[in-house]
Amino acid sequence: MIDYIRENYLDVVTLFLQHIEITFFSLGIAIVIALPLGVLLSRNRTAASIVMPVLSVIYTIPSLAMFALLIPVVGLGLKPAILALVAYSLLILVRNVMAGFRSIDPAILEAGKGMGLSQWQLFFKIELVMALPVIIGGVRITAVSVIGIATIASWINAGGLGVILFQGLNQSNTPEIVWGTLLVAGLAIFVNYFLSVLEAMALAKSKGEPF
Amino acid sequence: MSGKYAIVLEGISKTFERAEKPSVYKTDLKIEEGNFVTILGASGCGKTTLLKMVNRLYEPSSGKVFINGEDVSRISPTALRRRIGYVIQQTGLFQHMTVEQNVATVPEILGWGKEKINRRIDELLQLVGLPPAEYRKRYPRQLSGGQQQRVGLARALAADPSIMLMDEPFGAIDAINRSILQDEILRIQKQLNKTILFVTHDITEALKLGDKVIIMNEGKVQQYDTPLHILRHPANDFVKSLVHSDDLFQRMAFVKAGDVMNEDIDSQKLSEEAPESQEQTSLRDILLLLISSPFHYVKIKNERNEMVGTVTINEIRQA
Ligand SMILES: Nc1ncnc2c1ncn2[C@@H]1O[C@H](COP(=O)(O)OP(=O)(O)OP(=O)(O)O)[C@@H](O)[C@H]1O
Ligand SMILES: [Mg+2]
Repeated sequence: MIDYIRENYLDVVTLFLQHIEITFFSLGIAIVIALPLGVLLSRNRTAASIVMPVLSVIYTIPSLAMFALLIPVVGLGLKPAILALVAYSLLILVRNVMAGFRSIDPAILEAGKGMGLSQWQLFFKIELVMALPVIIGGVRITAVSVIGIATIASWINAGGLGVILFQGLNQSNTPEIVWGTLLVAGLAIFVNYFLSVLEAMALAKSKGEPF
Repeated sequence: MSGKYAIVLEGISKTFERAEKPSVYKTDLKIEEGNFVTILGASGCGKTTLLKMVNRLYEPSSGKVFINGEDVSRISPTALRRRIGYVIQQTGLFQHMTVEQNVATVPEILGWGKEKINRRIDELLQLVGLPPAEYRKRYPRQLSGGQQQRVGLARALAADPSIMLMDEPFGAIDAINRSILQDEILRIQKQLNKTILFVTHDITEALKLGDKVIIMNEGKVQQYDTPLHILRHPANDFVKSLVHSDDLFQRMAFVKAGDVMNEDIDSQKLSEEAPESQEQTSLRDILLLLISSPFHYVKIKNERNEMVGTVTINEIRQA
């Protein structure tokens, strides 16, 4: 087991970093889209009732099928991988952004508005802080699932830890299977922990509990 | 527009989208500067709607609102609201901000200097009975309901608005604390000479606090007058049954000693031992004093502790 790492550590580190890269970019792009989209949809129920089912449908497409569908459109490699992962991420992210903003006590918004805060002041000083814990919660769940699904992206030459795992499966190479699994799981556990700490801090902040 | 009216409503009405009938029918009202005016009425009669048209949280379907002679539709809603204090029942305190940050909200938006804001926070917390040293750094969740409402009041007063709108501010507070807060808002209003428009559905509160009371029912103003006038001359059956003006005991609870006392007195002739009371004391309490003392009158003193009148059973009869 240790021998495998000793012999292949350069490859493993490269693939590990690649996995982080795929996750990071997919998540980043998804957040940039989901934040404004979620805010918009939280204020417009009609638009939400159209967009959310679409995101739900995308979410239910099996990942292998999704990757296969994207190959004719954007080819092989990193691009389709990130595209697919962004598409998967949107449902949970947007849903949590919406939930975050809708969970704000209406009395707080009324008081803020009634005191003369502008829409932007209300948004950045009040609403965002209140919605943040739920939003981070969404990012956390999404990050974990992106780390998982990104493993499959190695099928379309996107690299990442899936390369080790599937190589191991193909060649019945137990150390590769174990290391691939351990590294993916370890990454997911670490990211989950890190974000849950952020989430707890945001929650304490939004409730006015000094930490 | 005459300058001595703080708030003028001219033919104001409000019909919400898709509503069958107006929430507030055409209404004309003039509220004098420095007056404490309460709006009294049952749930859903349009009190909040009326109030929110003053600071443009709702836009009226017809009519105009003037504050201090200025047409509010010509002032941007945010600028207007920064000039009007606003307090609601649920306090709406910003949970993630400390007491001082909450109070500083509007002064900060208005760009006041740090020093000035700091002094203002201390002054206001002092005013609402929360010692600054103890309360400045607390978060809303570390305060009782009554204390939170005090912070809400301080926050609304922060930029020293001449007009305050209050929507059932004490509605969620227990009877004992409500009574204390009522006394304090009266004291603060006298001290700062604010014009206050105060919504309540508690008759006692409306009559106790209001220099004048607006009685509403089903979107229409039924009567706008002083508490004493409303009790003595209810405008219609609705008002009559609302304030139980047929019930002498009920009426005595609302009429204040200062309203009916005999001011034609000779202090020399009044006994040292005769019972004394305040102008704001209800006739019911005065009657209790009368019954439990050998004297046939109660001496009434004003805020400066000067003798201003007496009440005998005759004055009570006339109430
Ligand atoms: N934003 C709104 N949209 C539609 N209808 C509304 C809206 N706000 C109030 N109404 C309706 O207008 C009427 C008056 O409501 P309003 O809130 O002014 O009553 P209120 O006297 O303040 O009652 P309460 O004592 O319960 O607060 C009610 O019938 C209510 O359903
Ligand atoms: Mg109301």
